[in-house]
Amino acid sequence: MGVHIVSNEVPLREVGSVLGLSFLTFLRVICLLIFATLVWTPVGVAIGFNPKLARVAQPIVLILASFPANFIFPAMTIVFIAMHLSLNAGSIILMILGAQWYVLFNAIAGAMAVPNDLREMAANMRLTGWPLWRKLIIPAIFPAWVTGAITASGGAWNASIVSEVTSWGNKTLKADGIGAYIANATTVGDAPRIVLGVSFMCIFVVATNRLFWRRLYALAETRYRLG
Amino acid sequence: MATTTQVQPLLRIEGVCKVYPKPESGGSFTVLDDISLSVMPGEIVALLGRSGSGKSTLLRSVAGLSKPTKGSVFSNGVRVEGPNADVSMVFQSFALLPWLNVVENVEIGLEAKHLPQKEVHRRASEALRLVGLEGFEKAYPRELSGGMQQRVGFARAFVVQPRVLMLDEPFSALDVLTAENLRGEIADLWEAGNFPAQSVVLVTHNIEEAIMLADRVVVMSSNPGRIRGEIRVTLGRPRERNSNAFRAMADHVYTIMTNPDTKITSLVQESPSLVDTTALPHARPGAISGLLELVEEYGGPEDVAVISDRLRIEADDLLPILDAAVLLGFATVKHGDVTLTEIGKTFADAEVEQARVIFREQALQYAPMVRTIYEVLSTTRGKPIHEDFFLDILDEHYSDEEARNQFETALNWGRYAGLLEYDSDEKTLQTHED
Repeated sequence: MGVHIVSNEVPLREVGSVLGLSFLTFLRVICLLIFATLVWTPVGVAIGFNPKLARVAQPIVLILASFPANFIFPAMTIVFIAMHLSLNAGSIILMILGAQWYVLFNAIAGAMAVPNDLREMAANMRLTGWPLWRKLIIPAIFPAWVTGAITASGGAWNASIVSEVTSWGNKTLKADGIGAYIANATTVGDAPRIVLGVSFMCIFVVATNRLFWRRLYALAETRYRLG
Repeated sequence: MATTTQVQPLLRIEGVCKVYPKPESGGSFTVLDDISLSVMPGEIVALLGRSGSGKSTLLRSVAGLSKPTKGSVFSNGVRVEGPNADVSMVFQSFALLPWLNVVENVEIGLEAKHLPQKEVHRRASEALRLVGLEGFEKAYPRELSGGMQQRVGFARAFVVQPRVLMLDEPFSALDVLTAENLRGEIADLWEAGNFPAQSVVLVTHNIEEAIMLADRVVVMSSNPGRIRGEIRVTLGRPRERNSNAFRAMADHVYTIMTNPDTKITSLVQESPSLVDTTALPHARPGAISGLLELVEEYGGPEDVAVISDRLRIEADDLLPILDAAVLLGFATVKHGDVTLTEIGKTFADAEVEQARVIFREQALQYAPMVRTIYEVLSTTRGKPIHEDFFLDILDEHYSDEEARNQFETALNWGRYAGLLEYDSDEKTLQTHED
């Protein structure tokens, strides 16, 4: 029925552009994951390997993760306007603000779960730097990273709806993306476009889950399982 | 003669304390209290203690994985400040990386050495051959039994060719048979003389394991961990778990472990040498008796050279007989003249049965090896003991040949004295029953 409504109300060629918009948002999610992984995994591991630090840091990270990031979106909008930064790029930052903590939180948990004897073994074998990351840390925290990345990307797709259109006073910034498409359709009450947009977002999320995350998860469960 | 250049210890632990704060009460508890210990090249030292004795913590301090609160560790003369490159560890839990196959796990040890790939492969294969894992290079740890996983653990430690191999309860996660098997193989490797480390420090709570492998057993007390003392394991290698000497040693250590207040130093002196191994001169009782009769016959102090000449035997052959006579209190030698004592004269004149009684008294008093052998046999209430028990003990102090000679002499004296019986078929000894 949904397909029927959409096909009657939305011109067919718009479906193609919705696909393109979904792909743009998809790229933003990838950027977010790369950023969060490169920045927050090392931080998370450093925290997780230090029990004293972890005791202090973990509740703080939890608070940061639960803080609704869109509270500071208007403030960020001012900054973007002042910096003449397009929301096409700025929305990535907004998505990161909300979603990065999942990666950090799981990196801490993953690092804390690395058995002490493996770390002692690595120290005894004087593994440091990149060899230490390659042989021990990356494989050991891989399952936790997968969990964090799945959660973060799921959150980021959602957040795109509020990140790709922002406003401060009468100034509105808009990015090209499936989030903005859905937000617009919602604002004007265009049910067929809402259905089309949400459907495409669902297809992308489910497809990446099936084709990518599920495989990584299987790998994490078999090859990189500790204990 | 003895060289004056001293062998440097591979490891020197000086006054090491480890104190952990107690977060709840704000107090602290002491895991290691003033530990000092050296490990010399070529020895296996076992740290034996119950849980809470801090033996694993001590191992980690030596490996540079845990910083002592006080005191310091020197490895090959250099103070340990971080992970100690001279040691490699074998872990109770194996500590293998499940995502790497066997050979990759072993090669981890060489990662920090930056060797050419070819050399890395060569050394890894060599280490795997040593632990009997050829053909398992591509297997993943989860495909292997516990015993084989620990073999990988050993290979990874061997491949570095460390100065000191540190074994942290390496067999206690294995079932009894597997543990016994692997322990035996490690002992074999050590005894074969091509062990890939100069020394070994073994942490264990298993008394037999400590005795099986170690040259020295350092006994630690619990809460706080302190060194109670050490026991030298003087058993020859390879060690036979079922030999009487091994059993006696194990009982000895077991008694120490179950009596936390016993002072080990005193026990060390009494034992492990159940048998006093002070050397006996090689002389048959008949020869001693003959010599004494000869001197008695001439009725006065006799010059050693004259006796030698008269008996037409070389002084070298005469001297042990003379030494034996002196040891047993039958004669004295002064300025090369032999004089019989009163008991010596009585012995020289006595009939066979009386001579035997006199010899028995003198032997029990002056020949400690004969006395202690007799004492050991007396404790078994007539049950025979195999000669190997005594030979094992003597082996620690003498060459194989001399140990055999010492044993023969003691046996000769003991039989002549009517103290001992020897069954040459069974090669067993027992006390003589009248």
